[in-house]
Amino acid sequence: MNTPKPMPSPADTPDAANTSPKASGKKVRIFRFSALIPFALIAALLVAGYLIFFDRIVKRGLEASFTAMNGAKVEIGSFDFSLLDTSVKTTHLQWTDAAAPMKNLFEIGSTEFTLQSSPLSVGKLVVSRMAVEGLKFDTDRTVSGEVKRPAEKVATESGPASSSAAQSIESFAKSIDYQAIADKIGKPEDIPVVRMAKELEAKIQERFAHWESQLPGVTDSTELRAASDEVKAISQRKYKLPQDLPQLRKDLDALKRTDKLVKAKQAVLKDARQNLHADASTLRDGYTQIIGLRDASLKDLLIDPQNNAFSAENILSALFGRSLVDTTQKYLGYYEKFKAYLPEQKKTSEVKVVEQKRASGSTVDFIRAGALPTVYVGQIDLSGSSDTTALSGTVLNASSDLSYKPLLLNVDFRDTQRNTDIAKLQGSMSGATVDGKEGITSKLRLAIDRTPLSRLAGGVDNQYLAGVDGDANITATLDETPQRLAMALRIEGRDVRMNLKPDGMGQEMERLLASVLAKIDLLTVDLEYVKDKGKDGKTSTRMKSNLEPILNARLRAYMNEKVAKYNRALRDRYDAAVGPALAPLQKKLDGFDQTGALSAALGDADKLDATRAKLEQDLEQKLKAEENKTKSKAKDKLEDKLKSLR
Amino acid sequence: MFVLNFALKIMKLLNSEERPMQIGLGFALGSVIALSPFTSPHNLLVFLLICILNVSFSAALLAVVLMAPLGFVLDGAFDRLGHLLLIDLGGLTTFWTAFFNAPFVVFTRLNNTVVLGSLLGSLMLLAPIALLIAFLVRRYRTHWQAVILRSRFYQWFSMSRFYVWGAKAYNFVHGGSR
Repeated sequence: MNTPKPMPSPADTPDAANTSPKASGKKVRIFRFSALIPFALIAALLVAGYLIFFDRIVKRGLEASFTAMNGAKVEIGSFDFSLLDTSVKTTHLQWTDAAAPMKNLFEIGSTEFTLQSSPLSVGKLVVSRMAVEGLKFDTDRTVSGEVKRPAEKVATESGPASSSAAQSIESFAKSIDYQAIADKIGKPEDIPVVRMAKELEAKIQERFAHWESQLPGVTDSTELRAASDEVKAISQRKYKLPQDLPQLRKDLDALKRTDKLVKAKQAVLKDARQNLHADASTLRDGYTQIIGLRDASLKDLLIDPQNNAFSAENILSALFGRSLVDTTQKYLGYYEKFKAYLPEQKKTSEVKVVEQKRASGSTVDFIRAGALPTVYVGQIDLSGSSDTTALSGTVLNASSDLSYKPLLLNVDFRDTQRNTDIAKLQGSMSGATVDGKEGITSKLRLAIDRTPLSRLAGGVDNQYLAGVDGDANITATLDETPQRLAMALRIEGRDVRMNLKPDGMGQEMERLLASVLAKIDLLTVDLEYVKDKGKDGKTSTRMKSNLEPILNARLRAYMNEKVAKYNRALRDRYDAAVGPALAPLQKKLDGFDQTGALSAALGDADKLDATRAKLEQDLEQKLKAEENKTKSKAKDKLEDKLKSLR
Repeated sequence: MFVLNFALKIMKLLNSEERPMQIGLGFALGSVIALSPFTSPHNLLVFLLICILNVSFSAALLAVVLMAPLGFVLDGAFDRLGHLLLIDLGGLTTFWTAFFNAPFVVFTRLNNTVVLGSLLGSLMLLAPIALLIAFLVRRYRTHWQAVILRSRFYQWFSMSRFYVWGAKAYNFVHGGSR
């Protein structure tokens, strides 16, 4: 190391060039060994510091890396690395659930493993066997594990899937409210049928009064009676002809006058009867119209059960749909996140050059055929417990490159109190190239026995439903290829009951739901989630259940019964409102028909006319006979005279 | 003040007793650090060389400061050079595979195009820079040093160190900066 020299003063400048080592011929050594001592000291200090703080540095580095990967805090209680045997021990690892920062996705009591030393020199972490103890899932945190990130735009979600169903049920339940019937029918004076009936009644009254004033005049039979008496007198008269011939002729003239009188009366009576008929007919038509309107109005008021039958699909969605889909997507999210931790699958049968663009240049990996992945753990022995559940299992070939060897997973969950199996997670994951596309192929299966359904429907967001009771067997199968990811979930629940929220609804609504959502002996729910890995990356979710037909049938039965009852009540109330207005109409219409008097009068006139006509005919015959007789006598006389003259 | 102080240091270096080649090599090794990404592991080795080789330490530090901007400017060219060597020249793949799978090499970060390119680039420039700087120092000392040291400008300039010290003292007392 050179030492600072004072700047030469102008006084010694003329010889400055000659004062240089070259000028003085002084030999310069190539090495400056004295500098090695401070360098070695600094290096030793750095190494010592590194060794002292190594555990802390690595712990913080791992926490930072895992936190960045997870999106929420990952904390490690302690990290202990032994340089001598390259063994690593960690305690109390807490992996926060990014979706619920007050929960840990999992917690590991302790891990212990030994890194193989030779792969370390080529930057690879290889572990033959690793022990993971005290593994617990879904544990509570004392402090939030949230990591503040820049605000992200969150897509506004539509309301809960159940809202339309709830509204539909609610509106229907309200329509069955008996109090609403009176409102629906309205006050009697507001009912059109009643109003029209009143108008018709007034019209009948008016026409009835009209005819009552007209009929006495029309049916007045004074003239007819006089004529009848006259006819009767004529009919009883005995004629001595030819002496009574003038009387006969006079009677005939009288009969002809009577004929004119009767004919005129008949015409008046017929005319009146026709008008009365027309009036009655008009009034009856009005009545028929009102009756028709009454029936039509009632039909409008009545509920058609067919039109109001609705699907139970939304109830299903409200109970399980969102919750199940959310849960499925949540765990798929974890799976996807786990996959994202895995670097690119690199296994190759020949040398492979993998270029990765970075902020500064590109990093190029030259991978030898069959080379170990960057991180490889031959076997992980898992053990843990939570409440009454104990888990044990193994993970084989966990590595950063699943194409090296397939990862095999086998974990059992047991109820320690009952000593029964609760769940089993099995499967494999491997790197694969299918149809020229590199990716991961996974087949994972989780089978859970007799788990409470309430856990699945825990997030029910519904105005009326609180959740479900009952146990279910759940089978979840995840199948992934480089082209697509599919997850199938099947739930089989026995003796399932749906719980209603207390005070969350009206009495009628509660009755309806309690009737429909009664115990279900065997409930099945199938959920299929498929995600294509093409350019458009389409996803589809399909849910199917036997709950829908069961609830639909119950709903229909309930609705039919309710509707029938409702319609009966509606009809009775309607009749009670309309009936009093219609009842006097019929009576008045019946009383309105006064054609009887007219017909009787007309009958009398006809009878008189007939008697008169017969009498007239008799008299005319008599007259004619007498005239003929007279003519014959005169003829005889005339012939006798002629004969005498001859 | 920084510029003045820097100029004073350069003058001190030029007028020091170190040989031109010592200054040239120190400057060239410092350039290797300056031209490649600062945190590259090979820089530790270069620093070790600067320490144990009898080269000008001041010149090396000066090079780190002066050549760093050039390093940023040349990053693109170094990236292309690294890309050419690591990827474009397929014939070298076997060599690189063996090289990067050898123990500890993976920690050198030489599989990064910029690191490799800048290291090779600066190594190629090592000799020319050393010779050029040595030549310039020699030239200065034989032709210009006497003239400059006697000039009124230099006398004024050399006095400016008192100003620099004064300014430093003032800043120290008042905690400010100029």
